[in-house]
Amino acid sequence: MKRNRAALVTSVSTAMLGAGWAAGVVGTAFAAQDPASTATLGAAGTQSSSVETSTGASTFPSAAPSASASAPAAAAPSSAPAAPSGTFDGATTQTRYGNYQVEITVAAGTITDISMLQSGSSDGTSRQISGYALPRLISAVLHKQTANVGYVSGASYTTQGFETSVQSAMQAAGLA
Amino acid sequence: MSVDVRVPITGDTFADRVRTDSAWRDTLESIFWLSGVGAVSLMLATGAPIGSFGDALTTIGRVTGIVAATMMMVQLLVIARVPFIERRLGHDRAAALHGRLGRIGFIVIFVHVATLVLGYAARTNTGWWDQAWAFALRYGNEMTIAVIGFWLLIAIVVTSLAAVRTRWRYERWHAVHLLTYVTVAISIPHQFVNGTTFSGVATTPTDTFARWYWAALWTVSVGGFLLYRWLRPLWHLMRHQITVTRVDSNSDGTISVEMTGRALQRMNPKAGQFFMWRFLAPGMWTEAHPFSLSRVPRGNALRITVKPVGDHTAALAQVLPGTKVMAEGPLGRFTTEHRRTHGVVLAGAGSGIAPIVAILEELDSSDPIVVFLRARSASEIPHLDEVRELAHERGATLYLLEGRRGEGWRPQGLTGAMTEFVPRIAGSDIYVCGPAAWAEAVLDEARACGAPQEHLHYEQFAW
Repeated sequence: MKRNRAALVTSVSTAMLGAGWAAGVVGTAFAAQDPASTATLGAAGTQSSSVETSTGASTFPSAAPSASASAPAAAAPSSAPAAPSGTFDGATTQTRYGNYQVEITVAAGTITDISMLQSGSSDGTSRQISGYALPRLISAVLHKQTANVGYVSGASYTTQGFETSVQSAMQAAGLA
Repeated sequence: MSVDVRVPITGDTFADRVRTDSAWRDTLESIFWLSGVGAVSLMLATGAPIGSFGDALTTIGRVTGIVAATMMMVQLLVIARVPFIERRLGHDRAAALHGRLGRIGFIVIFVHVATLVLGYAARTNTGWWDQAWAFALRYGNEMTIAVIGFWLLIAIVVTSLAAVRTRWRYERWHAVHLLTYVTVAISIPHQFVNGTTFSGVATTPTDTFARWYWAALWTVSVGGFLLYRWLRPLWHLMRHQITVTRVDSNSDGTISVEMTGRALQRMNPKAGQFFMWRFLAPGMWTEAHPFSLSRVPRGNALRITVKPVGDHTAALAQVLPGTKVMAEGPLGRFTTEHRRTHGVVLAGAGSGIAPIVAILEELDSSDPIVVFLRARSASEIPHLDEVRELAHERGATLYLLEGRRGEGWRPQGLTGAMTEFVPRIAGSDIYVCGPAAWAEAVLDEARACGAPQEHLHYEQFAW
């Protein structure tokens, strides 16, 4: 190829890749800006986990158990000073890899259980990543009783979708 | 000390052609290249995290997947025998590019698979073995067949390496090679279902565009391949009805086959070009072979001259007049259309003499012509009477390089540089066709005598 043409193609390529990269950074900026992003959940499950994590790839979790008896989110008035109890649905959080929505069970102001009403896209990648990350996130939230429990590395979208929904459920319960 | 003895006149059509050719070649290359860059950009735009080890490996895996797929698309297009690509890039260069991309592509695909297995394994704390099985079995049918395709590809590569070592017949190797088209075909669904950039898992405008972009690239490449490699030959068979009219066994041992057809001018075959010929006779129709025209096309009549070197070529002597022929072509850039200067040197040996005869016929006497024909003895040169007559009519100087193989391009007993035979070699176009080693020797000699690279015309018979 002639040198000037090669230079042109090279600059066009660089511009295209640069634009793509910039668009990618902007598009995922929300996930990266989360204040808790510095913490990382240990891959081996360093949290004293009460949730049985699935062993890697051997089973993908089926989508979350359907909420059979979910109480209306307004069940507990947030103004009440008494510790709230009941089940509370978080908001549906949209991510690139599908929607996430949690339901938390609260007993006397303590989150005792978290189930997934929506747990991301149903494609193989999303199922495997969520299947790995969600049990870790759930046990971390139960342990720390906060929505910001850090990131599962390699599952930033799942983490973001999950934690945002937990945050809104906790608000609904008057815990946050 | 000028290299170009006959400097082309400004505005000369020869010089224009050189520029147009190179401009089109560069355009083609740029399109191929930027198509791949575009796909990688779209992948980056959908978010390509590299924060953790698993993320970084996954991103590498995604990029290599896109690169490998783009290479496959280019491979399909350059081997599809699209007339435009044949004319501008040349059949042999296109075939060489196809092969080179294939060898690099295999490594890229291997990296794609390895990094994604390790990347997903790291992201989900899974063993790589379990992860490999997860991809094969739990990611849906599209991934399952893609994994099968990957193992099939490995089997093909191993077989091909063994084939090279044990010198398989081309036809056997080619039969195995055709399986790579199966692997390409079954790799396509997983790109649209599991490929995060193109799967439509998200519905942002970028994702939607990426999906259409990828679909368009595959449509053009697979569509072009099917259209030109399959439908066009069938269409030509029906339209041109090429039929064998005469088969001669020549005294030098070669076989001449004359064929006629309808409206062959529309195919526009030129002296020096070749077709992939498929004789629709029992035992022969499964194989297509490249043979050059050994005569300027006369209206609807074509002639090829074949040296019987294998089963197929020997069987040509038994082909009966009336046999139908499928012809893919015309192929190749070995024509007077690609001349750069006003002098011509033609050099042929073995089965490479056939196209030289045709080119000699096409030239007129306005430019100086020198012809070299290499053979063990003059009795082994096909159409020698014809060549002598043509050379006489065109005022061409004919050298018969007879005798056993000597040093370089010369037969034994001959000494001296080529400039002694062709004083103006540096200002001539040099057309060389023959066995690779000999042809290379001629080209080296021509270069040593000062002929610039763009004056050298050489085409290997490449499939």
